[in-house]
Amino acid sequence: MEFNSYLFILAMLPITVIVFRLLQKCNNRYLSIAFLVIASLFFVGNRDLYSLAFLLASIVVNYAIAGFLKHPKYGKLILAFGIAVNVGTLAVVRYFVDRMFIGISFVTFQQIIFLVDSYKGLIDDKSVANYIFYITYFPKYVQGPIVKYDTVVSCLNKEEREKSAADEISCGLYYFAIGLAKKVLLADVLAKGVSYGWNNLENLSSAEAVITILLFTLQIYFDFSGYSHMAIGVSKMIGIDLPDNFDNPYIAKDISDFWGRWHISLTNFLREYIYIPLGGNRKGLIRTLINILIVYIISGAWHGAAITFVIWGLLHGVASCIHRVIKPIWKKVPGIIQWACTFGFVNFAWIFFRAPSVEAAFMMIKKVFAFEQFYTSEALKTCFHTAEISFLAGRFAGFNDWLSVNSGKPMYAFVLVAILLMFLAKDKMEKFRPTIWRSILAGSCLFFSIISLSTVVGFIYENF
Amino acid sequence: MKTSKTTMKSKSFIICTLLISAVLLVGFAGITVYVDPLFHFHGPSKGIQYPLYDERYMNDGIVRHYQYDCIMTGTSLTENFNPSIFDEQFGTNTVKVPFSGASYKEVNDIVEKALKEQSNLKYVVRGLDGNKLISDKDSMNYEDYPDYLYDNNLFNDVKYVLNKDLYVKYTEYVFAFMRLGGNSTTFDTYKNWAGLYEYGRDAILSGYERPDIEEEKELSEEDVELLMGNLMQNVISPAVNHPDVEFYYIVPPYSIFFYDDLSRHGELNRYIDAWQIAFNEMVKYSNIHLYSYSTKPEIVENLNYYMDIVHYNQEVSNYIIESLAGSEDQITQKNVAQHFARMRDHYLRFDYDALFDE
Repeated sequence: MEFNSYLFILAMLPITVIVFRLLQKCNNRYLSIAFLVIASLFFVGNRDLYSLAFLLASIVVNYAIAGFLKHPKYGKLILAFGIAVNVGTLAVVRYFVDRMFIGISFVTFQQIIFLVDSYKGLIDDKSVANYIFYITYFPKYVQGPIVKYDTVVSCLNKEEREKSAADEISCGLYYFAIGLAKKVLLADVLAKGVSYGWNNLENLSSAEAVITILLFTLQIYFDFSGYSHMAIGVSKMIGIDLPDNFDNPYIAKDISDFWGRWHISLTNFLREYIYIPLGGNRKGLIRTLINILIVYIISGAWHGAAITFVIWGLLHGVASCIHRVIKPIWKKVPGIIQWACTFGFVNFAWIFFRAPSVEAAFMMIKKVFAFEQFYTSEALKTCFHTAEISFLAGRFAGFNDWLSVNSGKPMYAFVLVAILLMFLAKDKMEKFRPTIWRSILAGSCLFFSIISLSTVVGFIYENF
Repeated sequence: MKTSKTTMKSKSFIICTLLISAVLLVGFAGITVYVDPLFHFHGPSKGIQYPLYDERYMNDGIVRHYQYDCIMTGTSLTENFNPSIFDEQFGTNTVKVPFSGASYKEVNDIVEKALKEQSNLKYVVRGLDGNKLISDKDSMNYEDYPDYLYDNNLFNDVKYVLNKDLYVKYTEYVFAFMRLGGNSTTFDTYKNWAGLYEYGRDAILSGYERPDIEEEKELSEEDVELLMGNLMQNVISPAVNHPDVEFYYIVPPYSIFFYDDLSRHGELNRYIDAWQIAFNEMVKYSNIHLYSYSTKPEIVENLNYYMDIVHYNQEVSNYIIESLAGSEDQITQKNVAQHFARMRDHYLRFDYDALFDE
């Protein structure tokens, strides 16, 4: 099951929220946990039974390993073994198994967090119920955010809630609606243009190559941040706070700032569970730079089996290293230049993230810098001729020229709106104030998104 | 602290948001349910003119919700059939539901549905494409099926009524059609493409590349197994299960170039042998009325009738339907052997090279 599906929005979500809230009123903690676990297993199993089987196996194996972490002599070795089992399983599945298991990458990191924090004694209540709930909790299962054990478990222990159920549900509903719109109304439309560009690489003009790269920059942002908003929104409606995962990343003025705004939970995980254990910045500049490169290469490999992901990670690693070295000088550069360089670099690196092969990536780069043929084809423009445009063009003949595919105006208008939203709309869940305008916006987003669900495009990060 | 005039209570926010989306969704779905351009819930609504143009989206609804006692179906070779001619001859009320490029199974599925939905169905008129006989009985030639329109699952109908792409393509199209003064498409004109193409030798040859000569192929045991499975499941069983319904099966006349193609591929004997087996089986049933035009050179060899090696024009389509009232082109137990003797005699000895002489 996916968040952007009729079954989830019209059935599972309202039933889960209502039933869970009613169970909370009964004050039976284990019943509440059991319900959420069953809902989570249904969420995964409805999508793919093999993924469900993998999840259950992962739970059994890791809980068993955790049981031996307190061994006075071999605890550390067992921890290393546990991490190796999880990472090894991910590697084997990724490189040798011709099947995708939903959420495998995120579950791997969640299990590592559980094992490491268990070893360090940071987890007080490691009951089976709490552990299974932590791993399976469906809003964060498929694409994160990657959270610590206490982040979700402690929310169930709240004796007195800071906010009322209505406050939480209203806030969650709003963010879910916004997230759904980001995914269905923006990312899925952008995806068509991106697919066109990459599927017709040889025939692209330089202008189309630039547009394709920009479209992917927009697509991956709206796709992933949209999912995160939905996950946070759903969880908020249930009464469990998940951390923000995005903070307008494309306004970043340096690469470090970018990673403090993009997939924040991943950045936090990499820092706490890989970078710091490697020594962080405590062992001199050279070692620090090596550690940074290692972290980003791991990040790249975590995203996918293809070498293009590793190259993408390496590019960010190199950029981070350079930034670390020239930081004092960088601070003196005008802000607009800082932003332009950072945004330009991020766009460039995304080429490798999206490319089906290294050759294709270089071909795209070559197309951009060939500076020849500045046309945009009708096929590319058609990708943005949505049902809404067709409806308006049919109803209002006077706008036919403006709305026609050939004019390209729908494409440019769509991209412009997407760019404005990317920069101006806030990602972070600040203090939510329910207003009539937000209600109208959320209601409209839900409506337009639901009627757009039939042409569902899968989430990008679901593949990791 | 002052709150803005637009601030609401959380409960009100939830109710207001859900109400806005619910009203919009119900309204949106309601329009499609009322108009129902795909006839999924009901037949044509009074006062609305319906354009018919999308076979795989509309045929199921037509079969379920129109009133008729005769169904006319098949592939693109039946799209130019005029049901009105059949109705005049047989006193029936016919719906035409062709599926371009369909396999026998796909066409049979709609026949079975009509037999199930229409208790007073009297006639089935169906084209049997010559080149699809030796096929897997369950093969379907169309991948992207709107399954939600073909089943009885009410829940997945959300894909129809809450779908903006379908709304613009079908529901809104009805409104645009009516604004332009259109009248409901008749079944004579539904998917009729006859007037859109050029016919004649040049038209045929523009799409036909004469293949190299290949080795002669025999009808194998596997071929027979395939064709019998296909025939029994998708052609004969509906007639067996519904003895009170008259089944008019038409094997459309392919052009002489089709036989040239078979001959070059070494498949001519195989083709004729396969159809002889099929015909011998079909003529056993009294409610199957079998028609073939393969031994009519005045049709098959008249290149002006064809736009490619298989597709014929309106004149031939009309002749076929008119012939169903008589017996001149009917194949029965009495003349089936003679029919195939004539076919072999004609097509195995035909001078195909002469077709390419200028």
